[in-house]
Amino acid sequence: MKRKSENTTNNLYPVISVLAILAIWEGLSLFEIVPNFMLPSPAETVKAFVHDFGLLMYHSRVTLAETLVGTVTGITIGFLAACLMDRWEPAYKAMYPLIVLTQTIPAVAIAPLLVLWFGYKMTPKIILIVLITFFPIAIGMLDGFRNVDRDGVNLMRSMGASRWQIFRHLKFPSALPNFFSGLRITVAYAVVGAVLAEWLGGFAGLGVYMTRVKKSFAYDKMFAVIFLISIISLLLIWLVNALQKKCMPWEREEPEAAGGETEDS
Amino acid sequence: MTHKLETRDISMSFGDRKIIEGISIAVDQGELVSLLGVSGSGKTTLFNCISGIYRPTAGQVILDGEDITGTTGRISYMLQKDLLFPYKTIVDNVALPLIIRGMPARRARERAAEHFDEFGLGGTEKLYPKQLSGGMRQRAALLRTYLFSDNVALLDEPFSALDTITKGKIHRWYLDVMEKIRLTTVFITHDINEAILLSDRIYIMTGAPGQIRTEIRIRTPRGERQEYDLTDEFMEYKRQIMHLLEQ
Repeated sequence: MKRKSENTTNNLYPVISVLAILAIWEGLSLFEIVPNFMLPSPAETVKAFVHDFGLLMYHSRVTLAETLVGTVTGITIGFLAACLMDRWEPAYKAMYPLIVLTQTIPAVAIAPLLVLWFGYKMTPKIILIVLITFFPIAIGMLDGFRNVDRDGVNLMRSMGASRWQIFRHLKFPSALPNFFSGLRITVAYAVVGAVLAEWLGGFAGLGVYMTRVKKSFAYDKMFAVIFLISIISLLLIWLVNALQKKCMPWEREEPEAAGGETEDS
Repeated sequence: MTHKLETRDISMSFGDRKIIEGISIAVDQGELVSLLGVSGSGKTTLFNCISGIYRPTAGQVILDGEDITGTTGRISYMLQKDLLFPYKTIVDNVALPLIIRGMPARRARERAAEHFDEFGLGGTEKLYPKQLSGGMRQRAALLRTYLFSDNVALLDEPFSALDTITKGKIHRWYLDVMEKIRLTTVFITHDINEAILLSDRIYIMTGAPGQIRTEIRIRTPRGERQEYDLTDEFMEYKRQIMHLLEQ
């Protein structure tokens, strides 16, 4: 009971801070401290959002589709790379530095190149997202595989387990927490990556919408789409958390909630 | 007569470092035998050799008259930590050796569940390891070891992580359950009391490289050891062992 009320209070703090910012913002534009055409009020942003709702949803679908395809492909490649590097030491030695190197290239720098090479359709966006997703998944899972408890491996070996069985029952589940923390970082970046690539050239997507409203100086719509992108990222992170809870039910349980000391039986 | 398990002159080195040398022990069906020695005398290395995780540099491991040197999957092994996987429920953890041997998961779970009451684990099937106390986790680990093979079990300091009170209780429980399941076991300990209380015979291991120094048979049968640790006989064994270990 106490814990619940504490929780509510904890949730209250961010709500208050967000409301305070919104109030200040509304005040700034209401009293025209900042000219209205440069900073639309929250109310105007909402109005623009409602007005363009259909259009925004259309573009969101495109961005989300790119994000989804890119992320799933990135996860698959990252997972396979991690398995390969774990299974075969030369692959680890050859690929690990390369993978780290690719991460030093900023996405902003390669996005225009990708657009030039692969055109205005979905391909360059997906490739960019794959590049963004690949790294945290591959490295996270590889670390999980490699840091697996040696004694656990010995125990399974003493039972006569095959390499595959050790992977399936020990290495893979041990790497799951790393996978999910990688995925959480990834999904938010993936949306940003998609928008960035759309910005640089495309026919549809939230990035394209952004460039269009920017050209027509529709700042209210600009703000509306910025919020939409934030909301989408938050929803995706929430989705990953939900998925993690579903896939890792043991994390939820309270330690020693039941069973306790029944040594005298 | 053939012994259940026998090691013949087992030696193991890593590079130039000799860990154990010429270890020969023999265990008969249903016996509880302990290996007692200070840390660093190579007890765990010997177990790794017997279980087949390491192939010894010299010597053989004989199970039921058959040479199984370097073969895994024949002798069950309970390592020092309980090593219950945190992401599996207790029943899934316990059923793991059956699944590894190729039994379908559902049948393995059913077979494992049959033994829960016998091991005092009733009701914990669907829980996760972190929801259990140390003593209960140790029971689950022992059940897993037993399900892997009712042949011979190697237990590496199975109770060393428990507090004294829990330990006393689990010792009594252990003797009871061993009476029921009649598992042949060899267990490592560095606790003299535990060794005397729980075994039929004790091998004393000393030195680096580790060698078997001597063997002690405990007179009082296992079934008659209520408050055994308070008797003169117990004290006499204890004095003898302490003397041997100090040399």
